[in-house]
Amino acid sequence: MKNIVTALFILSILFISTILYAEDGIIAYLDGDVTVQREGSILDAEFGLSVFQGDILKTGIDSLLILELNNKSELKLRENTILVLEGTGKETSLILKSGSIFSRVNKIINGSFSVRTPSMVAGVRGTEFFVAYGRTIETEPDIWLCVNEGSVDVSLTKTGDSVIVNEGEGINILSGKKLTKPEFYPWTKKLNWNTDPDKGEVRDKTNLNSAYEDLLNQDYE
Amino acid sequence: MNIKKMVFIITVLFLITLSVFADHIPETSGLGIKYQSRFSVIGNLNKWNPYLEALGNIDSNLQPSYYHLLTGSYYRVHRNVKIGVFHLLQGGERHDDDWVALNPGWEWNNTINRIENNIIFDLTPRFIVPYVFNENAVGSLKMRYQYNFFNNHQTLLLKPGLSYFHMVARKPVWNTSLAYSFYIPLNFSESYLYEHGPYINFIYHISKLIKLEARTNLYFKTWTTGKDSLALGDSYSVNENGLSIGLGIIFTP
Repeated sequence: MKNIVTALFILSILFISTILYAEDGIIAYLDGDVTVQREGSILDAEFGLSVFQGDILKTGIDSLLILELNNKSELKLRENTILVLEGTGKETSLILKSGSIFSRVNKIINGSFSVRTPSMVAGVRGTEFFVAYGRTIETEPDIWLCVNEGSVDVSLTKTGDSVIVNEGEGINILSGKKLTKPEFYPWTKKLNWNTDPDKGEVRDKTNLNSAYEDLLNQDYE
Repeated sequence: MNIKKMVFIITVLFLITLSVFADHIPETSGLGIKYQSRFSVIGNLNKWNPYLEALGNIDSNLQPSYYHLLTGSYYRVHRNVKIGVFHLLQGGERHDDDWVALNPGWEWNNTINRIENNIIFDLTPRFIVPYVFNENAVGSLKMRYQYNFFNNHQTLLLKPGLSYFHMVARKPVWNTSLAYSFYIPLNFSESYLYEHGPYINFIYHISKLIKLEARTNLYFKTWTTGKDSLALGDSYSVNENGLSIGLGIIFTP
């Protein structure tokens, strides 16, 4: 009897450990300076490294990181990005602190997937979209969001204003306060949505300055 | 001859001399007004800005007084610097030598049917003016060298300017520019500056493709001795002031 209890106890511990330490995704590809901050320590990222809820992922200058989450979603972090894996699994919640990410969300996911910044939440069910911090022209940085496939429901944290951004459209959240009307932006045509190195270049070199009017180029004389 | 008679004769002779001399000086009629229309297409191909401009002036009598066709391209050599090469085909341009002696009298040549070919080299640095207007203001200094194949005149235009762009949702809705032009004759004229004046315009951006423009400029021109006057040993420098008011449409594909 005592042995059975001991065995059950050990199995329970193993089961709980499995649940507690089950990976939420892995690093599928990286290039450059990428770190994972986990429970106060900083790990150098490497191919195949597991990532967990609560991890903070950072890419440096000219760096790139591609994650595959267990819910079959994929994330591509561009350079100079900080992303927090706030929630994973069926209720995936990401906090974008800086930089920009591409998200490919599996359509069969039966839950929710959202990318948040301090000023907005982008919620989706199955889609490909891109979120990026833009220039700080007023008090807070602009947030750009554009959708390659499906649609994204974007809502502002402070005002609750929301808008659906459909495939091929983009919006700018001006200074994190005001939603623009969704429309096609020519610069988004240059975005590289590929996350599979076997299919070609995965690095996205789109210059986000091209999202803004270049006043220096506006000479009508 | 008494003194009164002598004074009378001298006065008459002086007046006759004055009137004959005055004939040799170009006529300027106060503040002349010109009405201008401009149609331009400015492309955007990577670093190139192909450029086409058709411009026409009519005078206050509603007669055509000047027109030109400007074609060429800017090339952006640096974020803040563009260079350009243009061909200017113009008609109606008036030069110092166009004040000509007739028999009798003097008048301006009618140059409206005279076509002149010019080549223009442009260098324009532009910069965002920091800290003001939310950095929606652009300063520039347009520098243009112009060679006129008709009379070999070489001109340098210096045009410092300031533009303000009114942005809504990060897009320009309208802009206005203030500039001052200095036309420096390099190998002609007896004046260091043969024309100068302020310029202001307002451009409304109907769309990314189409803009409407209203523009006006004052000009202060200096006519100096033309060849016919020079042949008679005359020398003069006459100022002419004018106002130009114009409307334009700009396509930016």
